[in-house]
Parts: sequence; structure tokens; C-alpha cells
Amino acid sequence: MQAGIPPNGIFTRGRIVAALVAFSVSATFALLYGVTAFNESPGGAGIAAQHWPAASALARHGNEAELLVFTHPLCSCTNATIAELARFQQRLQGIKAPAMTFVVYRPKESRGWEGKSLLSKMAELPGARLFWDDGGREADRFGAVTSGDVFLYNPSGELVFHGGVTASRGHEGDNYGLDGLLTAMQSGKRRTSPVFGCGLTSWEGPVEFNAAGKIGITPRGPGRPM
Amino acid sequence: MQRHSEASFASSLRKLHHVVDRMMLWLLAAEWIGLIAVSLIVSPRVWSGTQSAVHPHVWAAVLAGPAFVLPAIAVALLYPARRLTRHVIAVAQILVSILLIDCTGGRIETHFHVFGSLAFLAFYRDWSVLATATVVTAADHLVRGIWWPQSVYGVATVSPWRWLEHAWWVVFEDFFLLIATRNSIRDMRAVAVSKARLYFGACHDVLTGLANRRLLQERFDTWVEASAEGKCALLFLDLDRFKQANDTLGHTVGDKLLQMVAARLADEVEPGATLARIGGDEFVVFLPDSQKANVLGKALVAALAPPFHIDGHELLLSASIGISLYPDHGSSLAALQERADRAMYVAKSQGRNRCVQFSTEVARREEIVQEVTHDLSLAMTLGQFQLHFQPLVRRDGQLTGFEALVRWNHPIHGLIAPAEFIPQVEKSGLILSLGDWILREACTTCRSWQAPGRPVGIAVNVSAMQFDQPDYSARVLALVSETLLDPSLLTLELTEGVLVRDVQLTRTHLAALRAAGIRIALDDFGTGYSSLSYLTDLPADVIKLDRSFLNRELAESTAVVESIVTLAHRLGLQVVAEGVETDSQRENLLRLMCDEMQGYYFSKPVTAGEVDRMLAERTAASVEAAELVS
Repeated sequence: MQAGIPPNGIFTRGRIVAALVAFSVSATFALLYGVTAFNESPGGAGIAAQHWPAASALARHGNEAELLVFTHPLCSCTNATIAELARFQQRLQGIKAPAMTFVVYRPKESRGWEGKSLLSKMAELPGARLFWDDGGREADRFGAVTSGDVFLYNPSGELVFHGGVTASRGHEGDNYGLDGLLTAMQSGKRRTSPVFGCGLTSWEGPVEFNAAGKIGITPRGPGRPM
Repeated sequence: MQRHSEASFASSLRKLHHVVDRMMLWLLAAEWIGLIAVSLIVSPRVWSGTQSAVHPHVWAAVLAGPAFVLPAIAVALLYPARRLTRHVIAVAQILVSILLIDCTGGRIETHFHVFGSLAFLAFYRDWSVLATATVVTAADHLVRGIWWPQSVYGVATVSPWRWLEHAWWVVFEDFFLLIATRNSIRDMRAVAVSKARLYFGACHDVLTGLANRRLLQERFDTWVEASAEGKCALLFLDLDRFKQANDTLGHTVGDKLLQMVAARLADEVEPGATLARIGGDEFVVFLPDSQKANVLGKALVAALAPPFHIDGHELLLSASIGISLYPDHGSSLAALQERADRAMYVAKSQGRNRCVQFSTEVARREEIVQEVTHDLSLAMTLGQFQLHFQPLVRRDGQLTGFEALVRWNHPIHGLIAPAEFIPQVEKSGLILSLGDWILREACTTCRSWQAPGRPVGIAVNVSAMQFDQPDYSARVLALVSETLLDPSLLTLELTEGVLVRDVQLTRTHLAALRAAGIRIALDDFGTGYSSLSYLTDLPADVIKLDRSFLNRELAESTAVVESIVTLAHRLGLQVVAEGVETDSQRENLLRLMCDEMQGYYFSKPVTAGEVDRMLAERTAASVEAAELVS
């Protein structure tokens, strides 16, 4: 018998059980951390157009505030964005709601995404309209990179809010983003927040980048002033 | 019974935990599949433009299986009804809830799954399991609440104490689940106590608390199932002359005596064995280890030797024990009990207060008894009954008389002892005619022994059935007259139990018999339980001390014999000691002023012819002595 090795081998029952317990505990922690980390990690954030792009194909509604929501029709997290926007409309209380447009990404080659259920939910919001963003051109113009990215332009065409309105991916409920959007709507103070959702585009090219040509990560926290 | 109810409660709880473990493992399995299904429905893929991949939620749902669901299921299957198992299940169940909430974006509806999980865990009726689930929930919220408060509590700045509101509902449900659990446990315990009480009552003897027939059978059957090749023993114990005590002292004393007997027997029986009272004064011991049977039998006999003191009475008791072995003597409890019963009867016939193991010899005798029972009615006609005579010897060595003892000389099986055929005679009702024959034969034989200056008496045993006959005394007087025997030479031996069955009838018979000069002897005196007042109300002439006094320790027996002899002499009674077998017993009895003795020391029971020779030798010796003197 070699020194240090038990007579019945290395793989005793106790060691096997201990190893399995350690694996289970580690795997569980890794799993929960992984899911949480994914849920809490925002998507990419582009550099938003500070003024309504003149080249945009989107039509403005006269002198109204414009609320643009850039979405991917298959992003499940966007369900929460739609629910939060419904709450946003309810919480406006006497303030005229902005014109709401869902800018929905559609690839150049049709995938038959027009019938997705997310679209009917968007249409249920009062006054909401849908705009098919073929190839993601408008997203590029405005600097939207992640599904659920919300842009609020005041009647003058200045950007007063840019970011997400959910606490984490697919998460409904009170969040700083929604608070920021309300603040921006009510007071005109500029706010931004991270966006939690799927990526909007996938390098279909040619892509029109925004002026900076960069994609950066916006730090988390309460609706930060821009 | 307390121990039994606790065991019953623990057993009920263990079964409950077993069942709940099974339920939870199926629930976990179903929830895992449900989790995968939900994640596939809610968020099947993550997109970036036209490119997609399996959503991390789906991966998480799938990997939850090997991470904690399957390990929890494995623990439940390998270690059911263990405390650790239900805690592992509680942790896994709450983790499923947490993951379900994570995969559905924290929807309020999926939060209800936590409450459902706690409700299912409450089936364990173990507060610590709920505590574990609550701790896991709290730990999850604490960690997330520190790092990601927004997604846990919403906008914390709106309500700084929102975490308290969040936690309150879980604690609220826990509180009521714990109340329900506590009440449920209390109900379970009450049911267990009630069941234990019912079971105890159904399986135990009410008077002594010992096992009854049912429990005895259960224990035997359980042992037989578990021990394919084993050997066990059954001891059948019958108290000697207990019925007389019960009849003379009353059932209250009899019951107390049984309780005390049960307590002494229980002290000798080891925990693995079963001591049962199966009726009246009959006890059975089921002993899983057959090798200890004889030792136990002797211990039980010895345990009953010291006197019992009840309500001012000092009672002496003994037991006859028969032993049978499994599987040698039978494979069922009934068969073993029957064999042990037969062996017990052999013990009684050999003098009681002993233990006999069933054997082929006993079996053979049993067969013989069964066979000869049919021949009883012919036996008298064919003259197969015989009388043997055992001498009674006075203090000075003089032979004063003989006790007549009936024997059956079966043409095939030889001499059969009274203990083997008298019970059958009594059952068949032939005892009356046999009793008449014995009396006539004894008187006739005794008449033939008489010689001038040498009176020889004869003692005849009387059974209860005979003495119960209203015309018994008249029949006796007629028979004695018929044989021309001097009535004063006849002694009728009756046990105390016979005398006290019908006191009025007894007085009538005794008056008539004693008036004719016939003597009355109280047989087996001291082992019965007569009140001493009977000695004045129902007068006798002789007290016959039972042989069991001589079989006890010398110091014990001396004290008792001395008391009886003193009392008897004060009442004008003679004392005869039975069963004298040794010289030391004889000398002790002489020292204690016992009047007469009887036993194998002097002579075994002999035929009439041998009595004639005995008497002739004594006569010759007396003549020689007289000639020498003259």
C-alpha cells in the first residue's frame, strides 16, 4: 500500500458523496449567478442622436413630443418594455402623452416576422403606431442598438430621454428608467438609463453608423442626467 | 403504553415523511420539466438582428436538473424519510421557485410559486423544513437586494422599507403554516396515542398488562417470517392450585395474585421474549432463543417460590411448566402450545413445581392417553383398575395405615398413572362409579389386613364430583357397612377446594361421616388458600401437608411447617406430611412434631399382596420383640 492512499482506494464512498455535493453546490451557485448576471446585464448602448435626425424616414407629429421605441419583434424581454410603457401612459396624469412609435426591426430578407405576438401587444397601446425598420436603418440613424431602447424627443426635437424602462431583462415593475422617462416628460430634464434586451441589428451591411461610430456601455444607476 | 404510543407516533411520522418525500421528488421532476417548458415559451432564444442563440434562461432551466433537482431526487430515493433529505428537498424546491421567477422576468404570478412551495413543504409537518426554505428565500433576497435592489424591491427610494413588506408576506404564510403544522402534529400525536391505546387494549391482557393471545401470535408469526432457519421455544406455565385460591379467597385476591405473579415472571423474561397471559392462570412465554428454554423454565419456577403477601394473607404458589421447541415439536403456535401443554401436564403428574420439556416419550404417553380414553368404560368391567397402597408411618416408626391410589393396568400400555387418566374419567362422568369401586375395594382390602392389636387404617381420595353428590355421605356409609370395615379406620382425603365449593352441603356430609366415626383429612394443606376459620366451621381430623413444602429451601419450609403443626395440634388435628424422600426431611419433620409421614423414603405405593407381606414382617418383628422382653 502506498503512503497516503486508503486501503480501499481513492474513490471512497464518502469522497464521492462529498465531491457530488461540492459539484451540486458549485453548479447551483454558478447557475444562479449566471442567470442573474445575464438578467442584470444591459445590452449595448449606442450614441443617441441628440436631435431628431433630418434623414429619418419617420414622420413627426407636428409639435408633439415623440416617443420612439426601438424593438426586435422576437425579443421576449420587450414584453416588459411594452407593459412599462402602458404604465407610463397611465402615470402621465393630465400631461399630453407623446406620440408613440414602435420602430420594429425587420431584416432585408423577409423572415415572416410580421405576425409575431409582440406586434399585437404594441398595437394595443393607445395611439401607438408601428414602423418597420427594414435593415435597421432608423435604428442606426437614431443610435439604437438594443431592443427596448426608448427615445423621447421634446416638441423641439431635442432628445430628453434615452434608455430602457425595465429594471432588468424582461422584468416588469418599478424601475429607475421609467422614473427617468416620467421625469423627462414632466420636467424636460434629461435622463438616461441602461437598456435590457436583445441586439437590434446584426451587421447586415452596409450599416449607417452614428456620428461617433462607436458603441459603448452606459453605467447603471438611477436615471442619470445626460 | 407510553412507549408504544411514542413509537406509534414516530412510525406514523416516518411514514408521512416517506410519502411526502415521494410526492416532492415527483413534484421536483415535474417542476423541472415545467421550468424548461416555461423558459421555452417565454424566452426561447436571444437575438441580435437575424442571428439567435438558445436563450440563457433555457440553458439555466436545463442545467437546473443536474445542478440541484436531480441530486435532490437522488437523495430522496436513497435516503427516504431522513431529516437531511427533507431539508435538501426544501432547498431544491425554493431554488426552483427562484429560477422560475428569474426566467419569467419576476412576474408577480410566478412569485406565488414560492407560497405554493412553502405549502407543499408544510406537508412534512416539520417546522425546521419551513425554516430552511425561508432562510434560502431570505438569503437570495438579501444578496440580490444588496447588489441588484431594483429588480428585487422595485424602486427602493420610493419606499425604503419595501424589503420588509416583501419579506412580510413570506413570514406571514410561514406563521400560519407553522400553526397548522403544530396543530396537525398534535392531532397526529393524539391519533397515535388513541391507536396505541386501542392496540394495547387489543393486544394486552387487561388485568396484568402482559401480552394476550393475539400479540403472542403476532410476535410468533413475525419471528417465523424473519428467521427461516431459527429455533425458538414456547413455555406453557400453569399455576398449581390457583383455582382453589380463587375460590376460597375470592376473585379480588385472585386478581391481585395474578398481577403479582405476572410481575415476578416478567422480571425473569428477557426483553426479546414475549410473556403472555392466555387465560385464567395460564401463561405462555415465547422465547426466540430455544437454548435458554430450560434455564428460563427453572428461573420461572424459582421466581414463584417466595410467598405472596396479599391483604394479610401469605400465599404459597408454584407452577408447572411445559416446554416445546420449534420446529421440532410443531410449526404453528397452536401445535407448540398443545405440546407444551402436554409437557406441563407431565410436570403436574410428576409432582408439580417443575419444568418438563416435551419429548417423544411425552408424545408417546399422549398418544397412549388418547388411545386409552376409549377403553375407559371397559376398564372397570374388565377389572383393569388396581389399587396400590402407600404406607403412613407414625413418629415412632409404626405403620398406621395406607393411602389407596388407583392405577390402571392397561393390557397393552401397562400401568397408567392417575394424572393421565383421571381427567378423562372425570370428563366422561365415570368418576362416580370408579370412586365407588375404589372405596369398596379399599375398605374390603383394609378389612383383610386387620389383626388383633394391630389396627391398620385406609385413606381414600375423594374427587369434587363425588363430594358434590347430595347422597355422597349416604353412599359412603352404605359401602363401609357393606364391607364390614370399622368406620374409624377409614379416612377420606379431600382438598380444601372441594370442601368450600358448597359449604352447606359440605357441612351436611361431614356431620354424617364424622358421626359414623369416619375421619376427614384435609389433603394438600397449605397450598390451598383457606381461611383458617374453615378449620372450625368445617372440622377435620387430619391435615396432610403437601409435598411442595419439603421441596422448598429448608429454612422456609421449616417455619411454615412448624406453624401449621402448632396450629393443628392446638385444634386437635393430626398432621401427616406427604412426599418424604430423604432422611433429613424425616428428621426435620420429627423435630417439628409431625404426627405421621408418607413418602418414597418409607415405601413407594405397592400392591395389596406386598402390603400383606409388609404387615406380616412387622407382625413377626413385634412378636420377636415381645418374646425378647418376656
